[in-house]
Parts: sequence; C-alpha cells; structure tokens
Amino acid sequence: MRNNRNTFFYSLSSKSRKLILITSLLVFFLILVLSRFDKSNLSNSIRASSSELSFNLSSIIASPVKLMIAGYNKIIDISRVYQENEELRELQLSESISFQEIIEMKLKIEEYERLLNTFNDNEFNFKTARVMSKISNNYLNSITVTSGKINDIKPGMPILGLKGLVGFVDQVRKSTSVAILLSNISSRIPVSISNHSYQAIMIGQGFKNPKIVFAKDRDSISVGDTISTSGRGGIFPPFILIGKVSSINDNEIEVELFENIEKLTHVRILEY
Amino acid sequence: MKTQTSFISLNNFQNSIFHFLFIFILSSQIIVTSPYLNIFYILGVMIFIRAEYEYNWKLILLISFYGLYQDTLLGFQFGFSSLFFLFFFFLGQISSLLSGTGSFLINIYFFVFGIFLLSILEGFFFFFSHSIIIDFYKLFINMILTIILFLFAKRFFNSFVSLNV
Repeated sequence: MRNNRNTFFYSLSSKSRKLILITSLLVFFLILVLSRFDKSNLSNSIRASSSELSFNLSSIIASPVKLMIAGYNKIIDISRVYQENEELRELQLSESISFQEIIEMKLKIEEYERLLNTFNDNEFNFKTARVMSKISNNYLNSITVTSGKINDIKPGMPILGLKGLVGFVDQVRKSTSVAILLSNISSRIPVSISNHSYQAIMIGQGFKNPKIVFAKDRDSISVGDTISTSGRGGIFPPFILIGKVSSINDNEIEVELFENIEKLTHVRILEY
Repeated sequence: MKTQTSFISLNNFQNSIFHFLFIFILSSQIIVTSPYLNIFYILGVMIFIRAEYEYNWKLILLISFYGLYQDTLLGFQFGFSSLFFLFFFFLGQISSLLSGTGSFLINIYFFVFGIFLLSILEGFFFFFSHSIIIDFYKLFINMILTIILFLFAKRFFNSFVSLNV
C-alpha cells in the first residue's frame, strides 16, 4: 500500500504528469468558478470563518508597506499644512461672515419647519469608525472599517465621509466590517439629480467615475447638477449628498464624487 | 533514504524567498492600489518565471492554495485567483518546454500572449455581465508596465538562480 502510494507520488515528478496535474486543477477551478459555487451556503460559511483570519494575517505580513505608506502620507501632509494654514488665515475673515450666514439660514429653516409642521427625517444616530484598509483591484473597490458585530453594525448601513456618501456595509465580521464603495461595479444607488429631483440610478465603474443610468429626464440634466440619495427603495435615507454631474456625453452621464475616498481616514456609519 | 523526485534549480533559501515575496505582494493588495499597475499581474509574472525552473508537484498545490487565500482575502469568487495563477504556471511551463529555460524571446511572446488573452477575457466579462466598457488607456499602460516588469524580473531571477550554480 505504502509502496503504491510512493510510486504514485514519484511518478508525478515527470513533466508530463505535472502538466496533467496542472491541467486537472485548471479544469477543476474553471468548473468551480462557472458553477457559481460562491452563491452556496457552504461557500458563505467558509468565507465567514476564514476571511477575518486571512485579513488579519495579511495585515501583519503587509505591515511594513502600511508603515511606509503612512510615513510618506505624513510627510506630504506636513508639507501641505503650512500652505493650508496660510490660506486659512486669509480666508478666516470671510469665512466668519459665511459661518454667520449659515447659522442664520439654519435658524430660519428650523423656524419654517416648525411653522409648516414638518419633521426632520434626516437625523440618524451614527457610529464613527476608522478606515483600516482599502481593498481594490480595477473594479472591486471596498474598505475595511473598525466596527463590527460587537458595535451592532448590520449589512446595508450607509457609510458617510465628511462631505457625502461613500458606500454601504456589505460584510460584517466580529470587530470589523467590509464596505462596498460607490465606485464598486456592484454598487447601484437610487439618486435624485438637481433641485428638480430627477430620479435615476448611479452605478460604479471601478477606477472611472460612477455613471448615471435610467434617468427619466435625461435632457434636463446639466453639468454641475448636484446628486443626492433619493431615498427610494428604502436602502438609504434621502438627501445625502453624493456628488455632482461632471460630464455628459452621448451615452453617459458621469458623476464626480464629493468625497475623496483615497484620503478617507474615518467614516460615519448611519444607523439606518 | 529519501530520494529527490527532481533536481531543483532553486535551493531552499531561494525557494523560501520566492514564497515570502509572493505572500508579501499578495498581502500588500489590501493596502496598495494603483489603476496603472495591477498587482494581480505582478503575481502572474512571478509564477510565470518560477514555472520555467524545476519544481516539485507540491508547488502546484501550494499555488492553488495561494489562489484560494487571495479569493478569501479580496472577496473574489472561489477558484478565480487559482485559475489565474495556474494559467500563468501552465503558460510558463509550456513556454519552457518549447523553448528551454533561458530562451528570452519566446518566453516574452508567451507572456505577452497570456496577458493579452486575459485582458480580452476580462474586457468581455465586464462588458457582457456589467455593461462596463474597460478603460483601454489604463489597460494598455497596465500591460506595458507588467511586460517591462517581466523583463526586469526575469533578468533578476536569472542572476539570482545563477548564484546557486
């Protein structure tokens, strides 16, 4: 028995046997990909149990790269600080006037809302989380954040940056979560365009800007129009800012996001 | 007495370095992102070059395992990365069988063919399943950079292995 097994192993050493082994494995993995094994419960349970382990392991292995990038970013940031500080000093006076105007407008809106007996449906609790990593190849963009099941995070919760919507929670692990970004090709967001609330769907295109599809009033949309969530379908609350129309070609309306995802360090997870 | 199944061109130390580098670059994908340089292709380069030298059958299984590990890490469909890695391994093996190790030009032809074929398949996949037209400019730069990297890596690997001879 032992001899037979050894004979088998040694026979694999010939180039033809190895090629047969490679070809068999190629066929096996091709069938695995085509059979949509990924949709099965077994696949989900394997992924759930192993993804956090593999992520933690890879984080340790890739920590030198992480340190180098963090160091480089710090140097760049410090060089920008001086320049920004100078600019901010110049803007301080005019900003203070703008700030007064904003507060005044906010107070006015609150007063009108009270008079019209409306309620503010856009107030939700949120949790702040740190961005641990950004995982992406050309089309599958996602981030990992430091909040998980222990923080009551659930799949589908919207994720916001400082300026607007960033994405939504996809996988929830024990202490971390994976969020799909708006640029991910599987991202489909119901949006409202301009003050006239033209309804459409925004889909991610990987490294390219997201595009608008199924716009009913396509001819009325123009470059610079603001895009926000429409709230339709109940996936996201309405009026969350996303971006603005950056270009309109024959076939495509492209969106420039307000949030620079590359520079995100912290995000807010809305409890919606 | 343990007999070796094949003569390995790489010694244990060189093999360890190959595997360490491979896992290191694979893991770096959770941090490093660039639209102009696909790390997936870099791993393909490494496997293609490694396949031209003698190896144990365990290496084939190990590469399949690395693929599954990457699928778990990056959320790809199970089997996708293994398919990609084994394709390059297969291509590298066929290239070395036809040309012999060290024949530079034929290796380049095979590698360019592999990259080109994968890019076309990728383009068709995204067009038909997601209605997305691939950015050919970025794809072209990706391919060129990967091929340039292949030339450098091949030379480096050759000189690295020659230290062992």
